[in-house]
Amino acid sequence: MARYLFRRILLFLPTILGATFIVFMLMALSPISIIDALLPPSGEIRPGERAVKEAYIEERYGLNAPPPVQYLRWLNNISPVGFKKWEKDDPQVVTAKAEETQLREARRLELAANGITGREADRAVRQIDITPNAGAPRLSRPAIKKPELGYSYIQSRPVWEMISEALPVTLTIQVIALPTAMTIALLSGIWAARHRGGAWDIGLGTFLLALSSLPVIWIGVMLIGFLANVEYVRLFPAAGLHSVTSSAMSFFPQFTDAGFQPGYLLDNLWHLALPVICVSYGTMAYYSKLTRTSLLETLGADFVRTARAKGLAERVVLFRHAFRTSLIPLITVAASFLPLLVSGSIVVETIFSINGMGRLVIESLYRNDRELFLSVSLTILILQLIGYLLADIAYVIADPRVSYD
Amino acid sequence: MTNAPSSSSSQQPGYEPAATPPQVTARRTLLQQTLRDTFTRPGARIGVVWITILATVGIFAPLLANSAPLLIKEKATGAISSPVLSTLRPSDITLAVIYVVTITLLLWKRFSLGQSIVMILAAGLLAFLPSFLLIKSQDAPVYERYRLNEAAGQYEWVVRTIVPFSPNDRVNDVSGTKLKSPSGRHWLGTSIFGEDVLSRMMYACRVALTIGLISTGIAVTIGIFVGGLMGYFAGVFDLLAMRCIEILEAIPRLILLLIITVFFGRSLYLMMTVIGLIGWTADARFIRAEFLRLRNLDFVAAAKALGLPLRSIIFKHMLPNGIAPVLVNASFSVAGAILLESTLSFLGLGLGAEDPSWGQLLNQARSGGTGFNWWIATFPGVAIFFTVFSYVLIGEAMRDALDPKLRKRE
Repeated sequence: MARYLFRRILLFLPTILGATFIVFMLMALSPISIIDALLPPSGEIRPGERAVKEAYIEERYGLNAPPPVQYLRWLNNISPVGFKKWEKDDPQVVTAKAEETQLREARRLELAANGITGREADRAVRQIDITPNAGAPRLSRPAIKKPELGYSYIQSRPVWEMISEALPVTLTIQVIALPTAMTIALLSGIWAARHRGGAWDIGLGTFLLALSSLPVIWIGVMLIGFLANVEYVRLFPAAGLHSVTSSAMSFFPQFTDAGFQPGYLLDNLWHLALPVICVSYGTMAYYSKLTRTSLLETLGADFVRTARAKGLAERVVLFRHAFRTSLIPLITVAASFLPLLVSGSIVVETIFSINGMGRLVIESLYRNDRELFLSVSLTILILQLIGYLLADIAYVIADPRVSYD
Repeated sequence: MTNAPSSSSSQQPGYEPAATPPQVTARRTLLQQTLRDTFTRPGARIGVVWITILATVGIFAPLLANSAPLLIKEKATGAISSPVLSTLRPSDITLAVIYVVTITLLLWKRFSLGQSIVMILAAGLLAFLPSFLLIKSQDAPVYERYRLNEAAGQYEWVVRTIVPFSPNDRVNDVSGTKLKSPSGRHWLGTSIFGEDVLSRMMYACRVALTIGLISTGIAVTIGIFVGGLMGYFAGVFDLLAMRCIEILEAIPRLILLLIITVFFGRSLYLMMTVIGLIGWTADARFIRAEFLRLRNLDFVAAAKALGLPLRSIIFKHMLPNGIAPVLVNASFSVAGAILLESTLSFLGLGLGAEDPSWGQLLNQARSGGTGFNWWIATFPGVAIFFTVFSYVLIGEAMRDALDPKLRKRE
């Protein structure tokens, strides 16, 4: 079992490499790049000015290397096992830089003497490049180092900071939504399997089918428009996760002279109610139908017939014998919910103005923020793979017949 | 059945040979049987009704919702003309012809599936080429023209379309038409720019149905191809392709679609192709599983022994037996593609502001102007819901029709 787990974790690597490669290449090969984001299109006061700025940005952010090389550099940054980079104050780097500056000046004077100035001169001068440059990887020093997720040039903040602010918010919503949805789904699925064929079962089935095909974009807009609106019913707040005065509140609700004061906790839950409903209803409907189908299949097996023939109570047959076996397809599907932690909340966070990971994805796309987007994609990928691994472990626990050795 | 000889009938006077031979039951292909079983279920029937309504409305939208009237008679010259025809594009005419041909073939039932598909495509081509050559490209249409002329009294009589507004008609000749709630003039209200919501919804049917069908078609084609080869050959090819499929599945669909839309420009055809290119992995898995099961059966060994070419073994012999889960998944695929496109348009990253889409209208409900505009939120959302629900119902009915049958056979 430990060997199997180790092998599975090793197999993560090609998947992560392949997926990040595809995402990186798509972003690198697009006609829109970081230059369009940092240098807004505008006229030039002096001719050739924009070209100089573009050249500077390209060199600073390493965009003048071919895309596969850029990918390898990014990979080197984020992986805990990689190559150390040349530091700025390393003596070799300093001498190389001084030599480079000297040679470039000499060349520039030479070109100016021949009458070549401006853009062409810049291009020719920049071809003099003495390695090692600061920030380039040292191929002679492999090391175990701290993974850096990069620095967002658009928002001028380290990516890790932005993700560490946004991830807990998204996780809060999902950690409340997913277990609630799955519990309700399991209970309703078991109930439907027990009362199979009745009018209630068919009605519930159709209702759940309709529920799972309700688009989140519509339900979110309707909920916020009708239930959080001053013009209609104001049951819930319209935006965000905390009231304006929440920082002054105590944590737990209190009864004071001024009446009932909802504390920070209740205020947060009140704000979370609508987003959690939007995130979880589709999952709940789908999972409930799946539970019903899986349980019905198991209830047709021989061992259930034996258990009933033995005279066991229906409840015991259901929960002690049949349920565990029917868990296997349910576990597969539950594992596939984990990557939806982030991507499933994109729409809900946009509608309810919540600053979570989904909002981060959309912002990074709107602003062509490559570093941030790549790191968010990486987070989603890792969550997904962890989800599949947890599913495999759960298989072994649920079904004693399954063994991976 | 031969008649009994007269000698035996004379020996046994009470014996009568059977008058008629036993009936031979009608032989149908798997596809015909599946379709027949699916569409006897009430869920699938409801779904088909709604999708037919959607297709009709979408395809004939230029004749149902147009600022140009159907017929006008001018007072000055007394001539009767049809301004609607000048707004028609080659794609409109092609779609209308394909629609008519498809309905005729569905009801006539004389031709096989392959012949029908060829006829539909041929009709589409025959309609497209002349219309493409004959219809001149138009300048930006002036939507107010006919309304202003009518107000000026230039026409003796005017026959208008049912919804007398085009989807991009911002009604600039009347002030204060933006974000109006439903009224007698605009049956479902107006949008943030003053466009008629009902008209935009009708034209958005086209986008929804087209995206669903074409992206699923691409996904199923690639999936059958790759999955078939994987299942048939197994071995190294299967391992490598499986890794590729896992890598492709590791990236969430919405995120991949967002990247391509944001970084490579917005275009209907690009979106359709990309949704298809992302979604083929599920079909490939199904076909691969079926083929891995089928390749050990005798009929495949017989086909190989007979020396049949590979494409014949895969497409003519193995595929009809293994296509069942792909058919079920195709219906859910179409629903998913429609939802994906709506979500993208809702996030503002879909098609442009000119092309109407249900998700785009929902976005206007949330972010547009003063407060919450319930008519822009309710009606497009209902349309998306009904469409997705219809495809889900058809998919469920197909699943019920296929799976128990397979179990009965085995």
